[in-house]
Amino acid sequence: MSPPPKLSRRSVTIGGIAAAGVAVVAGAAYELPKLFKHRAHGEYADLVNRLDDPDQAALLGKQVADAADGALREAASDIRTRLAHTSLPDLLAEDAASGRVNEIDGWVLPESLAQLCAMAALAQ
Amino acid sequence: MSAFIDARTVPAGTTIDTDLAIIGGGPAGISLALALAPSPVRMVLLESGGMHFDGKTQDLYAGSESGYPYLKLEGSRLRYLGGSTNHWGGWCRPLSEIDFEARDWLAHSGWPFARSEIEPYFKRAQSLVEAGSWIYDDGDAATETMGAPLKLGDGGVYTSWFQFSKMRGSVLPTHFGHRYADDLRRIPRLSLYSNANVTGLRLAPDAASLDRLDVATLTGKHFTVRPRITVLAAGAMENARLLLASNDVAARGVGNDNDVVGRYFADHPIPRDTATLVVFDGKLAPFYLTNATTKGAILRATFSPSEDYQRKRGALGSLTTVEGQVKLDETGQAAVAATASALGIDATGAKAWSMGCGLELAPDPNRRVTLGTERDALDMPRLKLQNRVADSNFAHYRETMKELGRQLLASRTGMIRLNQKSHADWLSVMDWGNHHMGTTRMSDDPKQGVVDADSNVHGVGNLYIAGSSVFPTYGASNPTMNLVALTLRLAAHLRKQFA
Repeated sequence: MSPPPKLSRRSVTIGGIAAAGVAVVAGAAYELPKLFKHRAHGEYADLVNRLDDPDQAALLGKQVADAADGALREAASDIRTRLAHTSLPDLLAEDAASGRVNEIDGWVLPESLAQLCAMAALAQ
Repeated sequence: MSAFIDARTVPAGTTIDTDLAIIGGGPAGISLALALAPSPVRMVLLESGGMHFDGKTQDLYAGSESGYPYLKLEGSRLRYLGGSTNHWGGWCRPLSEIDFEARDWLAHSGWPFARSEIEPYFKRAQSLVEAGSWIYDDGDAATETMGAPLKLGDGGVYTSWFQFSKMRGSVLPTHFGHRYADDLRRIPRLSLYSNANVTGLRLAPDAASLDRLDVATLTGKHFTVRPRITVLAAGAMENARLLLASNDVAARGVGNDNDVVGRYFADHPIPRDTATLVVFDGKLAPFYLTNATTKGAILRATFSPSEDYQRKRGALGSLTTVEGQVKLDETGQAAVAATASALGIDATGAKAWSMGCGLELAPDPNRRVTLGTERDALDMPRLKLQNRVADSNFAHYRETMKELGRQLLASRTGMIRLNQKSHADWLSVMDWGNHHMGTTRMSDDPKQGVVDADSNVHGVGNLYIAGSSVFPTYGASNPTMNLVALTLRLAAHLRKQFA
């Protein structure tokens, strides 16, 4: 068995810089789409912009947006009130736990998420 | 040693006297003979076929179907020793307590006794179908080294468990004819007649008892069996056919004074691709996808509505399996991405699977078999099946799957797509379990059933019926192990009758 190679200070420094570079690039790759994600506008923008993935939500919400428009204002108000006291993930899990689910194209969703998807579609 | 006799060698015109005649060598008939083996009862077992498939014998099953699409009548069962265990899948699960209850939301439901009546016979039935140690809904603990059951939020659906029949050497599953032929040969007071087709149940002139059985072979031989007691164990279609066709003394057929014979036919619909299951982290324990061997049993996890849920929501029984992995379309990918991210879950490793199921049907007196005008090679009228399946049966199931979807979301584990909705949707994915049931249903009331709680045909003191034709309500569990347990209960009753 040969002894492990000694690391010089220079090689450690270069390695550290390289690692930091990789981390910056990786972080940017993860965060940049969020920075440049499509920002919603309009009546429901405050809610839609809480979604990590409003474009996907809009794609789903297109299927119900037309039919849902009338009831969405009331739903948005309810969600805003609830979000004052809880996070979006917890609000959605609460929906499911309390039996509040809706279907879009057969997909069973927390009721508030189904409404947010419809709002996302309208916001586009 | 018992006698295995080819009925084609019996001299025409012979009369055979016996204590007990068993019509049909399927799982019910064979289980009954084995259960009575230690008794002094002289038995004759009449099996239409031989040890192997024969096309001409199988053709005796042919009939016609109308209404909701169903299988060919000659294709959904097998007519030789072992009966339809010669092509069964080996899926075993005991009926639940609720399956025996009269449910106020389910017309015509309920057995004349509780599950506790057949409970003492389950272990022996389990042994006969060779399904290993009794685990079932203790499957979570039995498989803990293989992975955890899918985490579900509180609710009405839970991970339930099937077990599987296995033959010696783990050849799956148990074919009763081959498996028990030697055991039958060792019964000293049993005569097993192969190629022996019962063509008539002949009542005494007062119609209160069965006098004799007409037996025929496809080679043209005719002889008679004169038993003290007869057990009809020929399957749900043939049991009804024989009763209806034996109309020389009772014009509507044996046991059919109230026009119940042949009604309430049922099977388990097994529609495919009923739903898509998505698990956000992509991790699904292997026992959901394939059989897992552990603790002396072969297990498979499914999803079932709990009894409490069924009572609260008026749901029917169902057992949902996870099948092959599938790729999601654009909308599906959007649904998963939007839902998981909104729930704060990383779904980059999400996977999706198609789901299938077996469903309980609501009893329906107009889903029935009757006699047609065509005749078979033995001049017996062929059967006509009028099938009916109300869309409400599928609506019940859809609600149960929606509940499962809700529970997956509540636990942030995954989500579900309900793939079928309309009548046409369900029809396009329909298949059947080949689990014939209900045509000679059990009830204390002769106007509601053909047999009483002892499986004795109302009004015919020495005629009994074994098999799933007596199931008045069906549950979602596969019938074989349950009908064997019920047959063992009948054997206990008959032992007392002969004592």
